[in-house]
Amino acid sequence: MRNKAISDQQILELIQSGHKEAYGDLIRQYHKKVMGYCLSMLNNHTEAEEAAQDIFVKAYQNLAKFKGNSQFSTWLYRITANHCLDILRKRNRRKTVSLDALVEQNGDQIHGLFSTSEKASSALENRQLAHKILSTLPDDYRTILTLREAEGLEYQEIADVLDCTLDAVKGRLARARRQLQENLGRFLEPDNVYIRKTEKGYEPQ
Amino acid sequence: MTHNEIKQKLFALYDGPLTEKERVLIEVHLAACKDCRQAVGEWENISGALFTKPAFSEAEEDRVVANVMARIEVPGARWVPWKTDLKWFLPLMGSAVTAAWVFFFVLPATPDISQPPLTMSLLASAQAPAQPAPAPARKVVRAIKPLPPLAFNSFHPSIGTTPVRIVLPARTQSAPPVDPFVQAVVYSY
Repeated sequence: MRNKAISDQQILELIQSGHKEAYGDLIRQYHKKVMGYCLSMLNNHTEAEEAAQDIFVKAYQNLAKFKGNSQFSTWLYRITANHCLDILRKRNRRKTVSLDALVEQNGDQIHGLFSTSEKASSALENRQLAHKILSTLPDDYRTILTLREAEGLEYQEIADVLDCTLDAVKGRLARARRQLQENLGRFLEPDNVYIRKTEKGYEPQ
Repeated sequence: MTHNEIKQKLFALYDGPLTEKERVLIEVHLAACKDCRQAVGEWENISGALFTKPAFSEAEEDRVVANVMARIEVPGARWVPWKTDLKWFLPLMGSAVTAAWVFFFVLPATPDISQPPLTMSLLASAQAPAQPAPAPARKVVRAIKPLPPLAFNSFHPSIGTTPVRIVLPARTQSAPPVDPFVQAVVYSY
């Protein structure tokens, strides 16, 4: 396992001095993030694993371009986001799922996904259904929502990854959330919404 | 802050980038406003349902590491930037070295191809009878006479709209012949 005391910068210096085996530690450090992002965007485990491998190879081949102006994780997220967008663009040429078709096919399941009263489906089914819902969004909305909600990146980090301004991130994130809520609007009746009690003190409805 | 202003910043509270003062203001408002609590709760519900982080096993991680390490360069090779960034560097250097070698070593050692080989020259001198040395070439001095001055018809109305026309003086019988090379240059001008 990787020694936590060693920073990314020290690993990069090791790699540049010829110890390429140190790159394995870097892969282990970011495997979950890259793989998680790829799986969120692609919803296919095999494809996500292949994409993650391609991303790590691409990152290694371009290490000379990483000048340390941003964090290594931000730079790696940028490569990951662009790679996944490329795959999605190729895939979108083949087939897209419309919201109406999704409602017809999976209406009951979507209802169950947001309802706490019904029997919970398996995690895999829920994930596939969630991906189908997300696939009704444009790719850039999906990207920014995944970076914020699944990966937990701050606004500034998202701006660095997507190479845009802070205001653009805020605006795009707000639009993406609004569109997702609109798409889900027909399923989110008040009695299906369960407000969790959090550390911030929000009370259940 | 009004209700609408706070509603605009609800997601900022959810995402985190707020000042301490703004955060307290919004939290106080949330405690009293059912609509805003519901909006935040709805989004938390959506986010929790759609953006779950999957778990990965150690075996998957090991497989990815092994595959990536096998795909990057051969074991033991050093990381060299020009193999990734400067792919043009090695071919360029090879071409430059080859050109330098031809220029400095090959060309100076090559005999003049306009002359016959040495063996052929020796054979020819052995078979041919001795000839007297040729008389020194007489130096030919050729006088180049200047051309008569060119006259431009600067009063012609087409000046400025058409190309300049050069009017050469008519050659007379008694005029000396003009050097053909100089004449060709003048006419092409």
